Amino acid sequence: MSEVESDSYLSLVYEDELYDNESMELYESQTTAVHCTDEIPCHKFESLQSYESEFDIEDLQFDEEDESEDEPLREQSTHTLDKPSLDGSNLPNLRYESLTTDDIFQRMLQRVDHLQPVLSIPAEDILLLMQRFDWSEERLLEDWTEKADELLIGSGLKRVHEADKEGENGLVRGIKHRESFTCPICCEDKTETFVMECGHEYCTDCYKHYIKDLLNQGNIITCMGCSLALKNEDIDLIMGSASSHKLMDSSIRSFVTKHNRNYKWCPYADCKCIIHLFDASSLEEYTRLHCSKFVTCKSNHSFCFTCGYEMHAPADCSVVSAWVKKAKKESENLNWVLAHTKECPKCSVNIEKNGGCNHMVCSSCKYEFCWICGGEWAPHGNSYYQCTVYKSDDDKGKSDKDDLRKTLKRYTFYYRVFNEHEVSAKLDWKLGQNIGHKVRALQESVGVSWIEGQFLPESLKILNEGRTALKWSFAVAFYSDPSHNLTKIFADNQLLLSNAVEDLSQLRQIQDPETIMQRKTEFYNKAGYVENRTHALMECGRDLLRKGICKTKD
Amino acid sequence: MSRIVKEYKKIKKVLEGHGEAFENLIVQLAPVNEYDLLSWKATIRGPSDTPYNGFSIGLTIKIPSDYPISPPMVKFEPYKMPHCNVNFQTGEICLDILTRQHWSPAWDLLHVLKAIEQLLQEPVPESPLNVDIANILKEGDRTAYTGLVRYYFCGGT
Ligand SMILES: [Zn+2]
Ligand SMILES: [Zn+2]
Ligand SMILES: [Zn+2]
Ligand SMILES: [Zn+2]
Ligand SMILES: [Zn+2]
Ligand SMILES: [Zn+2]
Ligand SMILES: [Zn+2]
Repeated sequence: MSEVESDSYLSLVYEDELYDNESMELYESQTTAVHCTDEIPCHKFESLQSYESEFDIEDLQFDEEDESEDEPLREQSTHTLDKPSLDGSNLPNLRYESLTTDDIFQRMLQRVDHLQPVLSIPAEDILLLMQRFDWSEERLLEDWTEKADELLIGSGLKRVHEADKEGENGLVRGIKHRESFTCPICCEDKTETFVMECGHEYCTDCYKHYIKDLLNQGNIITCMGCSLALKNEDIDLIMGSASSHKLMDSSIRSFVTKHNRNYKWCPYADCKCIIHLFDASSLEEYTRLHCSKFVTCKSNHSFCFTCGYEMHAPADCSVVSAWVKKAKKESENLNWVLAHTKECPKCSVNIEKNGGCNHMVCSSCKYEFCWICGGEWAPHGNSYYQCTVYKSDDDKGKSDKDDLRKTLKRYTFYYRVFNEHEVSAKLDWKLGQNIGHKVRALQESVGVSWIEGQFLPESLKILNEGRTALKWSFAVAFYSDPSHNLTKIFADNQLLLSNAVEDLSQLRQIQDPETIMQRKTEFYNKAGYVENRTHALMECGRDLLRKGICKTKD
Repeated sequence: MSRIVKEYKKIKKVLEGHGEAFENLIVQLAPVNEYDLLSWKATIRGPSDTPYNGFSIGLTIKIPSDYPISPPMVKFEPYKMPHCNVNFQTGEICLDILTRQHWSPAWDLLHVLKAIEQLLQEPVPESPLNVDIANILKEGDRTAYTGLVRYYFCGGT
């Protein structure tokens, strides 16, 4: 016990007097109630207020963004404020920016502009060379100084025999209108063709078919008969305006994929953001300390830069990957867990969950129960969330088969709680989708300012972060040595956060704007508490990992 | 579709004409049946100076609906083909010009057979579909290579 007592998640528990007694008792007995009280620890209130001011600054930064040219965009704040220990101890601050393929392309165009006086060939041609060299200026310049002519021929910008003017039949590249022309590709008589300096002439219909699929590949597109390159203007001429944009987009996409050490796609469905990490080499330091670099894209999606999963602290990437692998393997047996409806344990009426709160009240018999374990709610509300702790049966079956069943049972338990929290998080998130309306309702009916109304989305954000941390903490718990004292402390921290989260979640179900405003302080207070508990749980989880108490088998 | 009809006519002419560069290579190149130009069979001679010399090698060719924008699909069939760039089980060929990315609509089936001849002459063990043969080639053991190829052609499995 003494070994861990100095650690920050514990000192945080002891931090203010309000929770002092409770946490002391927590480690001695396991019986005392810890619950979020209505009293306001005032420094927490302040910390939430600083959120608001940060919002302002961020909005300003967003406006400036367009003007910042070569300079990398500022780091999109991950809303972690400057809490020193949230990212562990001495982690390097990894700067990153959120971009789109268009942003990157615009930068490439600027580089082309810089290159033009050096290479003195048309910008279109430089663009094509950049495309060929995977947008690496350095490699392009290197080759250029060594063998410019070869480079131009190899990239299809110059014909091999151009110098001696042989075969120069005065052909000008472009669309031609012919009386009658038998296209060598489709062998049909056509009137509109595209011809290049090489003399190869094909109907525009064939060219359209040919170019269409190639636009998605991002490579240089050539004449159908030889290696002479089609430039963007040719492509637009044949395919219609801005078609080459698609080709450039594909090319930038492959650039991003090839440079996946520094560039990552936002993994959220339909999101087109790319995160660019300036210095990827420091990521190793994060891994070594069992921390993860969480980034937030322009559309406000947060994810782990290394593994692409959502924010998964306190779990590290290896716990996540082991957990996900296991879940995939077991999912068939465990599908029942995913059900979103449940019968009331008392009257068997079907109840659908509509918010993240796990405190259920049966609409029919008014029985109050816990969604996760189905048990009566009363003990949950007033004491620890016993349903977050796996209680192993004490039967001492010694055979391997029994061991296996026990392991599976233990896993099933953790998987189930993990899933329930995921479902809860999703439901909370859904509720949050209407948050804009709610804030507007507050503005209109109660007459609060936009800034004043921000406690609502902020508290939702904190709630989501708390739930996500709680969810992943069960993966950490599953892989932790159950006999170790720190694992028990971790479970206690889970209980505390679980309670805090349920409390805040319940508050969030209030619909009436006036009531919401009246209980604003309560929102602040409870959100602040959730924040602190989340922080403490993360610290504790990291310690489990650092000390090797939490280990994935492979 | 009229493109493949044209090719069909050209191929007939080329194969009847003799004296062409294709005489040493092509034994047969024709649609499986005259009414369906989307499915072809071919037989080529194993090039001299290769272990395939003296053997006839069968191929099937499927013409995709958007040919020649898309390349034809070529396989060694019906006999198993021992070659480092050919999948021994399926007959699938690893040849860049047969991929969408490298194919040019200006090429035709005769080009394709020429390219396959070249592949038989110059195998590429660096990108193998048949690892056993690729390893022998990488070791530079010409005798073992010839021996193995001949063993398969003479009924080995
Ligand atoms: Zn055509
Ligand atoms: Zn050409
Ligand atoms: Zn995103
Ligand atoms: Zn991760
Ligand atoms: Zn509740
Ligand atoms: Zn009921
Ligand atoms: Zn419960």
